[in-house]
Amino acid sequence: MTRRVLITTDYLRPGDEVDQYLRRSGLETVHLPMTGRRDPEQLVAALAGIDAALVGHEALTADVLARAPRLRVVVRTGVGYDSIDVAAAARLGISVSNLPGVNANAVAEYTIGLLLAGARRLMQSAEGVARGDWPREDGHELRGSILGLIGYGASARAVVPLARAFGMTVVCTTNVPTPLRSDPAVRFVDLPELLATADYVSVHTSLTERTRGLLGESAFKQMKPTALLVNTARGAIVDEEALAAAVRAGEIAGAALDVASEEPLPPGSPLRGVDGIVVYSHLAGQTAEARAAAGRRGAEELVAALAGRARFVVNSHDHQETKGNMDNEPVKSVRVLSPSGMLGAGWDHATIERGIALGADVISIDGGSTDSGPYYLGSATPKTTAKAVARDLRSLLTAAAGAGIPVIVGSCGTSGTDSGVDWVAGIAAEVMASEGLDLKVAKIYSEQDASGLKEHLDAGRVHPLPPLGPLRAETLESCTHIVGVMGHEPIVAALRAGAQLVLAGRATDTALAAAYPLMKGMPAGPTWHAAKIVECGGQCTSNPRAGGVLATIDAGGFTIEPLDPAAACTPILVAAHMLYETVNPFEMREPDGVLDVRDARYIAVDDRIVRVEGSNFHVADQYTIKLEGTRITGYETMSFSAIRDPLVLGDIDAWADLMRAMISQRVRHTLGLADDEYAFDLRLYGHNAVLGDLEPESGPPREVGVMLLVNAPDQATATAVAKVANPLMLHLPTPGMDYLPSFAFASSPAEVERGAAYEFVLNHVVDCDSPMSLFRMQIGEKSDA
Amino acid sequence: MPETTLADLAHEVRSKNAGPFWVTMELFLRDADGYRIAADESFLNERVIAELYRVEEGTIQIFRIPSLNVVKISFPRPVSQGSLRDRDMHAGQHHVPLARMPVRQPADHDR
Repeated sequence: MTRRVLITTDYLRPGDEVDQYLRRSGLETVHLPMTGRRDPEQLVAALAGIDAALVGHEALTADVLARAPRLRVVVRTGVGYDSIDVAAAARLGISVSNLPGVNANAVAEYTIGLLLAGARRLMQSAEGVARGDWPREDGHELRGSILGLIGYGASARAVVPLARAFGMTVVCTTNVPTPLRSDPAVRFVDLPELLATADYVSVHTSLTERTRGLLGESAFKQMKPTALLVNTARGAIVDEEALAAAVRAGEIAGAALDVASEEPLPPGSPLRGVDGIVVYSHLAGQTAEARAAAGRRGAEELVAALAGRARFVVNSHDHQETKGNMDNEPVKSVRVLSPSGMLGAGWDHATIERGIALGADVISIDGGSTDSGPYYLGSATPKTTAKAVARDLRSLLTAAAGAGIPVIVGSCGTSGTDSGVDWVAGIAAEVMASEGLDLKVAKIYSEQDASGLKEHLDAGRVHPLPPLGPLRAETLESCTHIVGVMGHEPIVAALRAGAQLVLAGRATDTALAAAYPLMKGMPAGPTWHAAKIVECGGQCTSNPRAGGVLATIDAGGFTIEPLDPAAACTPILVAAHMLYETVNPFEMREPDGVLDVRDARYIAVDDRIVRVEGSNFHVADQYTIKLEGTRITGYETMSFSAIRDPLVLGDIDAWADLMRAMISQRVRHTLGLADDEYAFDLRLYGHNAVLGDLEPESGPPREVGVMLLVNAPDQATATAVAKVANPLMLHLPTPGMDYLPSFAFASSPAEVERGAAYEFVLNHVVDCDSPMSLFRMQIGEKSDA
Repeated sequence: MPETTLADLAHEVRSKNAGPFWVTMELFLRDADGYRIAADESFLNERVIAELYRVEEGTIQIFRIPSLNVVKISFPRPVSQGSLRDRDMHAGQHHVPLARMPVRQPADHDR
């Protein structure tokens, strides 16, 4: 049965990009735009038979939700979700998602607009001129003033660089965990200090029971008499009666409010008629750019949530606070257990138990790589299946919890996208629930948005790595997903905050294993070298399939041994692992420097343990974070046939040339497409498909598989081209043949739609002042702002 | 008599992506004699690799590691990973032209 989606966001329309995407995803859509006040009964009627809803500011009360029996997913095309009873939704098994940060830049720019309008009295000037006056009052400059941000969510963070550019000093009060407060440009203070010192107080927190009326009579008394209050968050955070009184009494200079407790602003609002208070019509987040992004990301979240892979759920009960077991006491050595090269690959649980018995201090494992191609990042889809990840996490979490040691997983969900982190977190939550475990989980997100990176690009902080050239802004905009590859620092921050399970987005393979030893004071050279050697689990042993390895790092070097007693590490095997998947076998760049193994010595301790000494690490002048990004190149359709007839195989290259020419000609005549409006690759498996022109062998093959891969701007065109080629793939004779042969199609239909095709387009680094600045962390309970 | 190739002197010849934009390959020679042949810069050098793989000579990096009897070669992937014309997603079969290269003199140990 086709699942139905109700769309109430007022700017989303039947047939638009969002509608097409949802329909392509196999969903039926119903549009009921919310343009004014909504009768709850109309909403209840509209939700009948609806599985998922994409909503604007719709009031989804407990009553409305309870009367929507099929509803499973609600996605807000915005950030605030105070219009939805999320607790009731959770009880009813309805997941509610928002889109954090989707309009952050829009809100940030608008905030600066309100600051300028207030400081320069722009509205008062324009109103005076309209009245026939010619106001001549002085304004104030922003430069040198103090901006106080209440909340440190995406919008507030986006305000910081803009305010800094105006020469403002930024202070902030927030409940987000200390490790997240990573911006050196911001001083974090408590609310009383912020109120007492700020010239401009700007509200960026969400409306909760704790923040309702947060700024009332006593807050205004603490503020400077010259201060301006700016609110782009939610009206009810401010006590409007008290604000009007405070401005009238001269306790603060005024307020610029984009939001009010009741919208549209009622005629009797206390905010009306107060000189110094200007109310705007809730437009801070409303730009064409933010709307387009909200529609698109909302639809993606909805499809993901229906598939059980929601990324931004706001009402889950997954995470309980637990006491951390981390300490920062200095130690003589650190043992890192690496179970395998990849979470989901599987291993014998006995190897983990053996590693624990040998004294492992930490377990680290990679959850992904770019190695399997651009699809996984491009589409934010994991390569591994959930059950394999669950099996492996069960093995690690039970063992680690028993031993009281932390587990670190990096590049979650194969590509390390935000949804990949949440996907692994969801699986981990299920495993912990079924095993009765209660570990403190830290999630570190590494996905980047193009607009943030464009600021870095404009500031000259983005540099290409060979073989790519300088980055263009359009390339960033074309990416479906971009991740920053984190170093060890965000992982260390999570461990220091007491995390027992760290789920990192994209990270260097080595940072996972290096984080804990570096936190414990082990030297960088041996730590990074050991981390490189263990990154692929048992790859550096005599039997890579027998399980992982244990590395013991100390002040003078490290030793490495296989977890399987029958496997061995030898100096050659360990040394050779520096060759694996690296361009340069002597040097490896990390965000904060370069591992140099030129002087490393590999010594056999016994017949299965190797000691390594002499590894060096050179700290770089500039801390850099590497970017990975993918874009869609088109949509592909594949057709596969096979040839066994020796008469055709005798001159298969001539046949293939004829095939290419015929496809081009028939597509032009039938579909009216020129050669540059689509592309195809004809591969002769069994002849030269793999190496193409580099193939050294010649001579007629015994049989040949013919793969036709078509790439076009849309799926329908790609399939149309493949269908036009279908009779040729079945019957095309060689040039000298006077009858029609029939070849061996592998399946019916012969064409397979592959969906979007992707390519990697980023191989660049960003100069960063802080190792944390591109990454976001959530520990235990969701942070509120 | 069939020609002796680099594969005959090695116990493994392999290739693999080194990130999405590079391919790297390694010749693990059986012994120091084999290494001497493969590491000979007049035999195996950037120009030879450029012709064999039709890539820019200036972009090729060759590392000769006598302690491991290894010659390692890295160059930018001529076809970007996952693109329409990429027929080897992990670049795991691109060692074959290198492995099949005839060596100038047959190895002088018993085969």
